[in-house]
Amino acid sequence: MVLSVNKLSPRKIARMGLLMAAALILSWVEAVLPFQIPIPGVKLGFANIITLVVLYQYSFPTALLFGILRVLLSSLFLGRLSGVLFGLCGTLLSVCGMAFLKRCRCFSSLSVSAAGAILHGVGQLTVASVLLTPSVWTMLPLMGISSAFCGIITWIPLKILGRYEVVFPSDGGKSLNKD
Amino acid sequence: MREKVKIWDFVLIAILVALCLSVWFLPKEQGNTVSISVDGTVVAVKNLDQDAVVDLSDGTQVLVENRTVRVVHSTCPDHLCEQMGKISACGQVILCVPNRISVEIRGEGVDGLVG
Amino acid sequence: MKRILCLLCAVCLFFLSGCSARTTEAQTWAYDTLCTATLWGGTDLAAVFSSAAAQGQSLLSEDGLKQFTASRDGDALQISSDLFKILNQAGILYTMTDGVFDLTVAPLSELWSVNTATRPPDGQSVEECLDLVDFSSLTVTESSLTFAKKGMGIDIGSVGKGYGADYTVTALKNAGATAGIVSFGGNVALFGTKDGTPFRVGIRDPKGEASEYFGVLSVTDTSIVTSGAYERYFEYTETVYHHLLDATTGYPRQSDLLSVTVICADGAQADMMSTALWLMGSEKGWALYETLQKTEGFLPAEVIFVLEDHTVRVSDGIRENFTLTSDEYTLD
Repeated sequence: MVLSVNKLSPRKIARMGLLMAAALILSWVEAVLPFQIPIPGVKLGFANIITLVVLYQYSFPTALLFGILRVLLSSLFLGRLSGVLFGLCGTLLSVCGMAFLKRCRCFSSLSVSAAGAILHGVGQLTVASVLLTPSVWTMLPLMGISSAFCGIITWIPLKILGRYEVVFPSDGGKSLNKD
Repeated sequence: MREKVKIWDFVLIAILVALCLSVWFLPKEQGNTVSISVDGTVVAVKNLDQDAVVDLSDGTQVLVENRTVRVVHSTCPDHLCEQMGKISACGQVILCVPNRISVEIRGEGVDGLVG
Repeated sequence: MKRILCLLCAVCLFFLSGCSARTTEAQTWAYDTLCTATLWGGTDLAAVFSSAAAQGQSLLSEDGLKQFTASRDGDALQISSDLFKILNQAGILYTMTDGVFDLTVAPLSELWSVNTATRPPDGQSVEECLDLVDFSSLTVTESSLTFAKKGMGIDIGSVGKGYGADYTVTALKNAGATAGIVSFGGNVALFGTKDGTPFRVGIRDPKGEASEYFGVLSVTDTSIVTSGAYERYFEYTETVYHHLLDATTGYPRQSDLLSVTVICADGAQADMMSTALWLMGSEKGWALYETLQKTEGFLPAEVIFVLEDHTVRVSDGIRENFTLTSDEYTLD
């Protein structure tokens, strides 16, 4: 998988480090914003932009690992240990779903982003329904709408970044993976 | 970026949102009891028709008033549970994730009343 | 692409599959009260319910309440075997309560008419009426009932609803109903379960509004009846006169109980027991309950007493199935 020595080049490590730093900063920005949405599973999802970048640049296993690390690191970084399990589940479901949808050629990154946001919420609600109460599913409609909305909003920066070859190379990422 | 937004994107988003909205169409039962749980265990059950104040052991306070329920005071860092406001319909929940507290109006009311 | 849509459809169906089972809601008027039912299974259950309610009524009496009255001294009436059984139980309760519970209290109830009255009857009328209240003067055989004096009567209303609920449950089961909960003016009878979970029945809070309950019973296949002074009463010059009369004095009985709930397979028995136990008060009432449990002719039953100091006493057999939901009351 990802950790085979061949693929883990210094360049890749450096890039991943930068991306992780960017993701953590975005998580922090999101956390210190003056308003918070009281529905569990709904966040603006800024950090999801970075996860998508990793997914499109590299591979699904890389993105999955990246997502998991991001959740763990941002929990430590922000001091929010109680939400770790929720975040992990959400990210797992989200990344898997996004990778699956990306493989199907008919979806562009727009719906992948939106679907990722929704699936993240679904993952969090699932943990909540097990640890707390199944009644949390009543929040699913609101979560769905706001997550879809956030997913679309966060896709815009992605599209902007995409203009730059360095983010979405025209050769499908082969040049990045090689070195 | 070479990628183009396609019609399937909107189809997918629409389907996913519709799936989420489907919860609103499920049949609903009468809700008459307020069930407060900590860590998945029910610690208090109150009648929705009776005004009451519930003080939990960690300091969180729940108020039942005029057939609505809300969290008046909480000890968690973000106080999101207080911001959630009032719930009054069966199935609705207020959650305090850091404290693992859930306050819900139970869908299982009673099937009948004797007396 | 097709694979995705199929997958999404499957997920969609999965979400929507949580629909509730088909139920029939039925309503009818009998025993001078509204009778309702929520039923599962079977076909055309609403019609069965209505006709059974009417039929059950006529088995006991010609047109429902208090129609078993003597039009002359020594008047004899035909009775059904069900009524014979009820009269036997009533006789035992009459003896055990030293006459306080008396099924022949009909003329007295009529005099008080707590439903519609605004003032109590005068002492003279009550005295005269008491002459007509005497269960021991009845002659009961398996098929007939003979009244000693003209004007005497059986208060069918005090057992009718419990009996009627049971009767309709039998009819509904015969019509193919798999589960149901029936309420005859607050007397509940239920059978079967909702997908394996027992029915939850709230017990009315004696100090609250009609829809408020202080506790919930989780039961299957039984009848439940609750009696209390709060059901029917009127106020006159700051005194409350309720419908539970002491047949020995002719006046509403003072009791330290707010309500008595009886859970028993026999609805008519539950109906009479709940009244008799309430009349006896908490101490004697509980003793009477324990005696009845060992008395032949009475089915086993469970009880819940609510005392005026807001303590709730629950009999052992039903303790596990009862949950207190109001903090205005405490479990004994």
